[in-house]
Amino acid sequence: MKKLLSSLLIISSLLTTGCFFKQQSYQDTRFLMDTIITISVTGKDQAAIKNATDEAFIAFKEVEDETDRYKSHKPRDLYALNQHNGQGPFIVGDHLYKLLLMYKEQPYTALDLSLGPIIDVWRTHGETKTVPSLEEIKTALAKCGRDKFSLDTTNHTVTLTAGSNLDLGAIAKGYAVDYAASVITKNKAVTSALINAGGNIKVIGTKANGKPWRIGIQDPRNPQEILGILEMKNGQAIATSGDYQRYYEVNGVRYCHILDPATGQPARNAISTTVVSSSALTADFFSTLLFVLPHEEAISVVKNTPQIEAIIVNPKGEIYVSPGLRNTFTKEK
Amino acid sequence: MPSSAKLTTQELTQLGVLLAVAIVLRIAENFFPYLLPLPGARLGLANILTIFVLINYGTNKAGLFLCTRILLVGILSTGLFTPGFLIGLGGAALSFVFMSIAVERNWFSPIGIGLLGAFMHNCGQIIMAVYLLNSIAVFSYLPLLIAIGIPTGLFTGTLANILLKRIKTT
Amino acid sequence: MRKNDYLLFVFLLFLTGMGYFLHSHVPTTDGKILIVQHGQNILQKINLQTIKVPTKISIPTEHGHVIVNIDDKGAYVVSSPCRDKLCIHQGKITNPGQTIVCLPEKVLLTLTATGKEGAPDAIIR
Repeated sequence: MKKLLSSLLIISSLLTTGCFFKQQSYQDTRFLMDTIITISVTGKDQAAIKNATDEAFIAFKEVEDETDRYKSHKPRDLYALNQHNGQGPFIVGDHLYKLLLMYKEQPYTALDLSLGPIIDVWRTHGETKTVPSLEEIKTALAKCGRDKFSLDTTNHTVTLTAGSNLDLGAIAKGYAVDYAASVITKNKAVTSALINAGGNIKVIGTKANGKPWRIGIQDPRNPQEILGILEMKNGQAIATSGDYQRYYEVNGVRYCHILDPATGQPARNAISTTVVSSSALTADFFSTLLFVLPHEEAISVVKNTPQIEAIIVNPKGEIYVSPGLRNTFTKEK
Repeated sequence: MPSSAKLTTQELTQLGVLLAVAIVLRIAENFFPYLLPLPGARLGLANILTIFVLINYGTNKAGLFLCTRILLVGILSTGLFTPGFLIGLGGAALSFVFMSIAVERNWFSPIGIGLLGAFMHNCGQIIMAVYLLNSIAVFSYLPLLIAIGIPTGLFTGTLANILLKRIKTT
Repeated sequence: MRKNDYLLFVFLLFLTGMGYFLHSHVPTTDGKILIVQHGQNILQKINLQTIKVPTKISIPTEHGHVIVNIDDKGAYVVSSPCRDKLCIHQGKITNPGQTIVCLPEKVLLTLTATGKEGAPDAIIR
């Protein structure tokens, strides 16, 4: 009996050592890029995963500083570039350059990064709850357009025409999420992580019980409810654009923050678009693009772009789910 | 049942051979496709030898035998301290405790020991999995595992019985 | 085999039976999902727990529309362009695992149980 107990002791001490190999979790939330960002990480070592989370937030701050249109942070950031309009080539930071390059390589005109002037018009009117006149919109729109800036790939410079102003709101967060995710993935102690940056989410690794991640998509007309739950694979990213995220109403008409570059008015072809892709930047880009495009065109873009799948809700509340998601999306209505 | 504290050279040699067989069986099991989406959920064929050693050499030496086998299999195959290793360990531990008590008190024939061992092995695996994965939901696999454990337990018990009748170790 | 062996064997069989029995009776309170299929394509997956009011969905098929009534307990076919209306006669399905098939229209309705997790890991806003 004594020997039985001693073998039990050996086995149980082996088991207790196993406790130290149990999964640890850590979560932190901070306010960055005008959004509440929550990063949850699980891994083998408590100190290491906290470290990974902190580094991820540092990565976010890095991108925020370089793409913030409203404040000066670094000598080669977006604020400085915009200030340099009409003054020839300007050397920009790496993140900023990569973002503008990605944008220039896309053929779509419905997403435009040069809408600074018209965005400012709507922002000013939003503060007083008024609607800008067509004249105002036309004048501001004249300062916008894909032709208003150019990239020089040899010298890493950007040239803005006079009066133009870039706003990277449509894609900066997606880019930041990818960057933060790459920082976390470098840390070998991390088994899995979820980065939730408001309308941009990326999942890393497998969930502890081996099942896929389940992400709920907010109901555009009812903040307490969700449209349904999407099952996500490791490494996938999801981005949502909606007319309910930032808007103001005048006389019962909603004016949201996503503008149609062709008209300078808030886009009204959809009330919510959600895109799934392996890159958060791609998801962010297309969620904005599909929001602006007319419904049928948006569906056609999804069909012709193999890297993305999407869920689009039109103003009537009808939900389109692209074929690749029908197996993994469960409606809640 | 022998319960001498010392390990004779003859016993050492015999156990060495049996250990090799147990390790091979255990690692060979890994090549079967997963029965369940649980890391480390296995048929438990190596138990045949655990029962054989338990009945022929006694609890102490069987305990040593089992620990050595687990460590060696861990180094050679599953990896030490991976979830798969720990789940297997939990199963082996619980199963061994119950089997050795049953053998010392002569509750069952080797066939019954096989059944008991398989059953407790599965319980041990589930308990470890619930703890490691932090999920009560894993308990839902228990009925299925018990069901699978009945035929495998009978099988290992019967084989152990045959071995015990055919191979004399003293 | 000894007497005790038999006892243990019977006991384990009993445990398995109990486990199975418990298992098949719990799911009705768990979430149910209705999978709507046309041919090989899954058209929709609907979480029945969230259907507060009986709803009708319309499945477009070769010969018209198959209308299905859904509530928080299950689903049944209300109308179909098929000749024999077997799908309607199958009545209402309410348990995970049950299916309704309309072969001429290639419609398949399946009820499955949700995984034990009902809540999402995160919500994208």
